[in-house]
Amino acid sequence: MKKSLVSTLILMFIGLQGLLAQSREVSGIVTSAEDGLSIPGVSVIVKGTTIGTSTDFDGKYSINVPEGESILVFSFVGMTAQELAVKGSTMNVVMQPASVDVDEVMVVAYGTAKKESFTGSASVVKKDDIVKVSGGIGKVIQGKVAGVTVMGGDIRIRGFGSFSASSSPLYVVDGVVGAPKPNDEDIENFTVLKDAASTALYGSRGANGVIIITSKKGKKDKKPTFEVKYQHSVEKMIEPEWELMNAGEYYQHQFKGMVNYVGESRAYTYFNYYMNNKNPYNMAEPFNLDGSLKEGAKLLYDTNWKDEALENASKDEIYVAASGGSENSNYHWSARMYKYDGFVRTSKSKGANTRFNYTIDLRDNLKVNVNSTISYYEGSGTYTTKANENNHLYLSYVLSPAAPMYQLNQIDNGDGTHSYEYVLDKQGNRVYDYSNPNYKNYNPIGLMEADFDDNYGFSAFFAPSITYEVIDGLTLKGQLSGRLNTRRGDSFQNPYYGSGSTENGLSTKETYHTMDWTMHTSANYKFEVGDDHSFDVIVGYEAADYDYQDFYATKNGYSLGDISTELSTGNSPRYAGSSTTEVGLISYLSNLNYDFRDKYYMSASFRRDGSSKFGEDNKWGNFWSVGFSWRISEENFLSADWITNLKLRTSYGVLGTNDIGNYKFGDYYSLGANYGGITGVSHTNLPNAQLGWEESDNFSVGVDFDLFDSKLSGTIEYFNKNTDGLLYNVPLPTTTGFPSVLMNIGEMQNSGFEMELSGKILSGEFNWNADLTMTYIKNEIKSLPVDQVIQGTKRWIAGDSRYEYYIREWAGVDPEDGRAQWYMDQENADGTVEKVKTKSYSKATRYNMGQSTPKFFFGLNNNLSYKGFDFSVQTVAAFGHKIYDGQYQTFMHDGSGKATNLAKDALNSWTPENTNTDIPKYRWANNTSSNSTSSRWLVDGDFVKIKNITLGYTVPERFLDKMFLNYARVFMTVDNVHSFSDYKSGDPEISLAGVSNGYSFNPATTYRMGINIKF
Amino acid sequence: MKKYILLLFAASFFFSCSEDLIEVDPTTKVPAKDVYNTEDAIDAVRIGMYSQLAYRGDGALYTLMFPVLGDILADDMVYGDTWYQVWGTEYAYETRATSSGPKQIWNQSYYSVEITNTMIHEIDYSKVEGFSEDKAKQYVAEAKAVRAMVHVDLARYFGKAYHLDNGSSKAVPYVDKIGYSSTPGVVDLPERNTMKDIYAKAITDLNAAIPDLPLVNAGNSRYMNKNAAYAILARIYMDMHMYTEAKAAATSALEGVNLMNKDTYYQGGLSRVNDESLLVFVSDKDKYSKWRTFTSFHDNWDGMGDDFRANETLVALFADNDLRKHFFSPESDHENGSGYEYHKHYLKYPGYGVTVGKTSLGYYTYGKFPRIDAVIGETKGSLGLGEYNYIRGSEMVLIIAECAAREGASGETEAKNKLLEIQQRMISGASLSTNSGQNLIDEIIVEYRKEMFGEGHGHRLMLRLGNGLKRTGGNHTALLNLPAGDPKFQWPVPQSELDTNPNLAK
Repeated sequence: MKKSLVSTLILMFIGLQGLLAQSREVSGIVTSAEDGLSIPGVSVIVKGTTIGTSTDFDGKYSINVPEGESILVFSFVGMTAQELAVKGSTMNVVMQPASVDVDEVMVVAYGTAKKESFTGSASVVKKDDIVKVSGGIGKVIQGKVAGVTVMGGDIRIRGFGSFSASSSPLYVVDGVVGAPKPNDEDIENFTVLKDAASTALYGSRGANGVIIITSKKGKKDKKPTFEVKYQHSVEKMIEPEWELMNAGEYYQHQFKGMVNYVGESRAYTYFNYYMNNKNPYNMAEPFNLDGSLKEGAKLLYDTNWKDEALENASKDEIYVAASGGSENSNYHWSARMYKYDGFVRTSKSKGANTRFNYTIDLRDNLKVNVNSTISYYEGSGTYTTKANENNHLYLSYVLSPAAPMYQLNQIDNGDGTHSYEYVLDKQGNRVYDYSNPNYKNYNPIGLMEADFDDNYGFSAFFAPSITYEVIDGLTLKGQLSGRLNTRRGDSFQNPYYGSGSTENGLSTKETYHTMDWTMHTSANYKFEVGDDHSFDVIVGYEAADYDYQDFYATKNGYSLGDISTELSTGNSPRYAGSSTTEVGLISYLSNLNYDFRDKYYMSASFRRDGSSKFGEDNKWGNFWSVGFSWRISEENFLSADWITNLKLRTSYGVLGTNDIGNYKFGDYYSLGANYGGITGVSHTNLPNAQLGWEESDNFSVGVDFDLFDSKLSGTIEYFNKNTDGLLYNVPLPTTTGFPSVLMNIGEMQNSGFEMELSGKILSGEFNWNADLTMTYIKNEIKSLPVDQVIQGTKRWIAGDSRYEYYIREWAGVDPEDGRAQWYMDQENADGTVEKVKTKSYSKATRYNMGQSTPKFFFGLNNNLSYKGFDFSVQTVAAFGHKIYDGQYQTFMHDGSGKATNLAKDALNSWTPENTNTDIPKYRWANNTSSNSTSSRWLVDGDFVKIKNITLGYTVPERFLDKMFLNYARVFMTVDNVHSFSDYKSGDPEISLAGVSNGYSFNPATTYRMGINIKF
Repeated sequence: MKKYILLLFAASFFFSCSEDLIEVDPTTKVPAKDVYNTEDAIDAVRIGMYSQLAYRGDGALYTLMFPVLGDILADDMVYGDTWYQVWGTEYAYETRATSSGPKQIWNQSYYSVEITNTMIHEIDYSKVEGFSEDKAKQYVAEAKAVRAMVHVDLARYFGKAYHLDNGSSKAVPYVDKIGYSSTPGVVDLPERNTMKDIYAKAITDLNAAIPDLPLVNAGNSRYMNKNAAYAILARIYMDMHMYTEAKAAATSALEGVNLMNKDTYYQGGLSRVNDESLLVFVSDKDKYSKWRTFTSFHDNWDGMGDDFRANETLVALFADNDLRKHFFSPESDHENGSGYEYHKHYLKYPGYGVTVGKTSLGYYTYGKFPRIDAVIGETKGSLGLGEYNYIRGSEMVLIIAECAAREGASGETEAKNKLLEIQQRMISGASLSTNSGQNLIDEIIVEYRKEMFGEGHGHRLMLRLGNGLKRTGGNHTALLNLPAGDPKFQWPVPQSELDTNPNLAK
């Protein structure tokens, strides 16, 4: 305020000279593209003169432009300066935030750093990108930050760190590890820290990279501004390219399978029995014994369980915020509410959260900040995460389409055929039929109505901090954060049908709560020695504690149904239990940044962590890093105009991972091994006192550049991460009495290149920016203490990727008998090995069949704007990997899955008439393993995906004024627009392990539209 | 002011600076070092051993797997083709290294063996206050007998029937020491032992255990006891065709034991501890979900118990005056609640001679093992709980009869009397057999099949008789005829085990 007043006075004084000449007046208002608010204090100068002014408190200006001058220069700190030709007497200007600014300050571990001086590798993502793409950090990062792999829900920074410990990055929100993630709208920016120099300060938790989120804060001296955003979205499941069979196809196929099994004479007897006498046709025996349809046979009904169970999901969200500040304080408050109707008909949830951030300067050198979040959610009717018959989603996929949804009465037509009519209850409603052949007594649609599985959660987070500048340059910081998280689960299974029936009704109540706190104290001293040497030192101490408690109880015997589902109603206890867990971490940390002549930079950090997760001998770990950078562009020998910035940097450091679960090191007996009502214990943990941290050595070298007046900027980097002492549950021969033991085994390398390029292709009225990222990652196991570890579809062996498929190789169907074939290595008498076909699955040899993680990732974001319109397209691509299509496999079984439904493709199975096929003979109760794990289900995983398209329109100010608004934008966005790939079962962007699940929700194509206003 | 602020920072540092934070112990686990130090904890370890035998995770070794597979692999019982059928591959004799059956039974067996070895290794009465030497000996004896029992039961699936080659085939490793060293990852990788070694080691273990084990009739039928150990010995000797030793062991197994009476038998005594129970495994209510109990595999009700049927060839062996024929369903409809109907039916005790009904596929449902948690008058609300009689006196009586009959003429009177002991309980007007020689032996074996059907004996009986598998008639879906010694009788070592222990490939 003071500053802008002074500059206005000075500029006005200078401007007096201009009045003397012939001139015209130009006026207007300057606003920020960021928030649409007017900007006071923007300098407006007539180019080539000393004539200038600055905008007033409301962002308005007025200037006299002398004859012969036609260009105005608008500039403001943190915004890109604009030179605009004078057109007319009113010029409203929208200032763009400076996107590539060498003086940019970014948030890094335990502090901030100027981008130019930072020795580590980090990418900053700004709020514009976050708000536009919306839908979580993973989505935003993808294609925006090189070196980051996002597959399905997995986010990995620079490779795949671990075997069994978590490889997910660490999240830090406003300085607090693991604090609740803010709403997208509340994020100011986030920084992805990738190399040792930038993450080593997080020590034992930094090995997988760190994502630091900074939330929005209010601005001092600013009137309150309000923001409201509403959006509605519809999610449409991405359907597989194959379809499930309908009732007719299914029934006929099963009949043929039964003939193949028990022979023609017994076929109908067995078929009717196993189909539970549910016949969708109008005659008792609709097929001839060769499987063909009899004349006059007509399908009477067809049950599409999936369609009945699932629908498009939809979500409504509203966000409101207020922020502002006074002379010595600022605040930002926000609240978000949402309501979500899930894919499963009865699945619904809603929730709300509110955040408040307040900073006050108690004195010039004493600042207090409070950050708090409270959130609540409730969800209902989602029996989608349980096993088999208790999973309604699963049932809706596998149930026989030839079983009726509602009970039917058979009416004899008197001519050998029959028809059906619905059984009606006394109110005239149809009655659900629970007698399908697959899961007797289960009807997912009926159960959705009769059973429930609700949960409620509440969480409160509070983090006060105090910053005190003791003397010039020396700052002390103290921060305490605490979180309470409670969740309650409430489920009921009715006494009549489904799983509850054997229990005569079953009710479960469970609750858990977690409490965690972190205490941080640090001192930061910045000083200079002479003109050339700057130092920045941090020393600190941190302690963290996490407590978990749960309690659950189940009773059965609810003969009144759901009239009351309280535990006191049930007549017999079933299970009850409780558990507690505590985890502690103590850390000492230090960091030094040194800067010589703003040209050469050095950083060093050291952290010592003590964790409760490890045994006596290995509780403490030391982690450190060093980094160097050199701004070559500051050297005299390289002072070209077109180089704004050119920086070379390198770092090396040692980081750790401790994310392995608790109490893994000890020799323990578990409680609960009771027998005949008497307390028992059983030996479940094999001890490993030597269990220690996973350590990774990280080397990185890269170059940052900013060329042609920031028209082209980016980073090219090489990284190499060697992880030693990998934590893994090594499978043991069970003759030891244990399935596995957690050990530090082996060594793994992740190395690769990454590149980020940002280009301003067009600027001016029509704006076009593009970001391109490319990542190449090579993962290789360097050594293992055992020859190999076979883990599901993968084998770990020195020299291969940890994600290398190691499965049997499919050799097609023998046209003679319809049996499946695989390849096997056969040793000939002369010792040579020959690859031959075999029909014995267990004799078939397992081979390396390619890896499940892509070798190359690409991301391309295009942002275009013209006048009020903005348009962006995000495209991602991945190459060099394979997907194991477990979903297709489930629905292409050969009869081993008995009466479960199949994909229509299975109709092309081998028969004596149809021998030219790759689908084996269908036979009820098939034991030939033909649809067991093999390369039959492996497809090329390469894909190109249009991840997001967004179209927005910002309403021009001349309309806004009338509505008393500062900013209004309407937008439409589509997520997961389309993918190009060979994978047939939906979205090809699945988890890193590359195995798609037999029944799960595919990611959805989401259509979102909304409005965002500020006033 | 400055002083106070600095003091505040200093205080916060000291307040949180405690290494207690990283010294935490779990609340749901007991450190192993504390386990063998108190009598109560050792008691709990022993109970844990039985819990493991009865149930662990998804594998219920002695309340589901052994009892059920013992009949799935034979021919008197038909294993249903319900689509969730778990052991269809094993039933069809298509078992492969990658099948789930061998893996489950192998893993669960060795988890149990580890507990026995640890108990034998760790229990030391002299270090534990109040722990008597006798009790320590008894616990170690129980562990040894359990170790023998598990190994022999497991070996039958992986080795060749003992008598075919005098036990020279390789079966499974007999693990009799703690299977891992104190350095993790360094494990003893055992090799497969021959049937001969396994049986010899089991006999040694059992003989070592017997003197220290208590008798069953002191309320010990749910735990390893002297009578059960003798009974296991008898089974082993029967496998080895050592009938003299078998008869002696079976006789000892019956010490102090009376057979259960007709009423108990008829009213569901086989799902409970009864007078003749020698070793029983309990299914605890809080450990089981439905589908995973022995009773739920046999007793038809509420969509469960579709798994087992009696083959019509078995049912044909029962005479009309045999009360055991009542076990077969009087209705072909075996749908909801029929288990309860059975239950009522037993209670009514209508007298001998019923019309036996078939299911639509020809085979029979039965109510020999009624669930014990059924509520009279309710067709719902039962988990299918029941106790499994792993060994009971009747088996020993029939073994004595068979061994006596195999002695030749000198033993026939004894054989006939023992046979009659079984027959007269359930058959009205049963009289002493008039058969002799092979016919008498055959009659005893038929009686054995009738008496023990569904109790998991089929596989063992088939192997020791050396008659092979004969699924040539009746209601089997997979028709099979395998001569004794066919390689299909030997399950391959599970792939997961081969992957971790290459010695097993030998």
